[in-house]
Amino acid sequence: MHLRCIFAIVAFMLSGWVYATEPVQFDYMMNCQGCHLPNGEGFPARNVPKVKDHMGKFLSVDDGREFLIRVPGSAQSDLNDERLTAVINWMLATFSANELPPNFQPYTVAEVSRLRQNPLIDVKGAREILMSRIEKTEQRKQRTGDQP
Amino acid sequence: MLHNWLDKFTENSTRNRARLSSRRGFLQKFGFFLLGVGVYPLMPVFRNGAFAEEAINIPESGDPNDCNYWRHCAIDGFLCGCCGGSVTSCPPGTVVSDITWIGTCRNPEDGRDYVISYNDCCGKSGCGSCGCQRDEGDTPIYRPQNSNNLNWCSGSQADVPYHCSLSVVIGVKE
Repeated sequence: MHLRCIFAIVAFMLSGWVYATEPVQFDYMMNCQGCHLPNGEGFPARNVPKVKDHMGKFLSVDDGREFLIRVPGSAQSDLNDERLTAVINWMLATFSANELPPNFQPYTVAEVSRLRQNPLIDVKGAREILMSRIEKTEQRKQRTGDQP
Repeated sequence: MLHNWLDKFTENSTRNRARLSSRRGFLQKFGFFLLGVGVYPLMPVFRNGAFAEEAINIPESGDPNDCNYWRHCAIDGFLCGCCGGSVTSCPPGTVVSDITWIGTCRNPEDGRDYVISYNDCCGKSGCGSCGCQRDEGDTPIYRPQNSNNLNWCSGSQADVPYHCSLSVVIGVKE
């Protein structure tokens, strides 16, 4: 019986069945993946920010939650508010679940819609400020973590 | 004096060589070397990164080295299949640019829209064979994420030199 099940599953996998990409992943592919890459690694050497194991850190510092929606890649993408919200929440869950703060709330469409009206002009400057905040938070965490 | 020394050295080394090697030894070794050079590229070498990942079992039709092949619907460049690579792998001596632009093409066999990644192969000058420009859905350069007029090799490890373009299927639209 078990063998039959396994055979059925294997036969199904080998058959001419072509899976459809999840719509939210499709949106990521079409609008983000070209630069941020399939696994969210980015290419920091060429100024493509890393998303993997990193994106969620922004949610722990002031202005970080706003930043993720106000960057050009989000605010100026072809996606409408609903689909952009879905992609951002999907990216956080997929690439950076371990960095999410304990009180994390997914973005709402109304929030994304409001934030993207105000795109960042000095993206690099804003990013540097947030990165130093993230670094400080991490150092603080390490210090408190080291104490018995 | 000098000639004497040089003569001796030459004579000694020549006699030594003659004593230690057979008459056709060099020819034999050189022959092996030539054969090795010829065979080495045929070895199943693992070329990491030269092959992009591909979904399995896509119904296919047409010639991948023809500009009218369905996957090339938004391409602008040389087809790697004509340059020593294939539609999904870069020719030897080039590296794939991971950073790229992505679009969709409709497969005439099943009528579905497939997500295509137009990775460039970089590190050598332009291939020059099978130039293909179709531009369906191509956007002006001020919408760079969907523009095929950019040299995407500028985002690769090999930097700017552009050689040819791939058309890799990475997903299927619902």
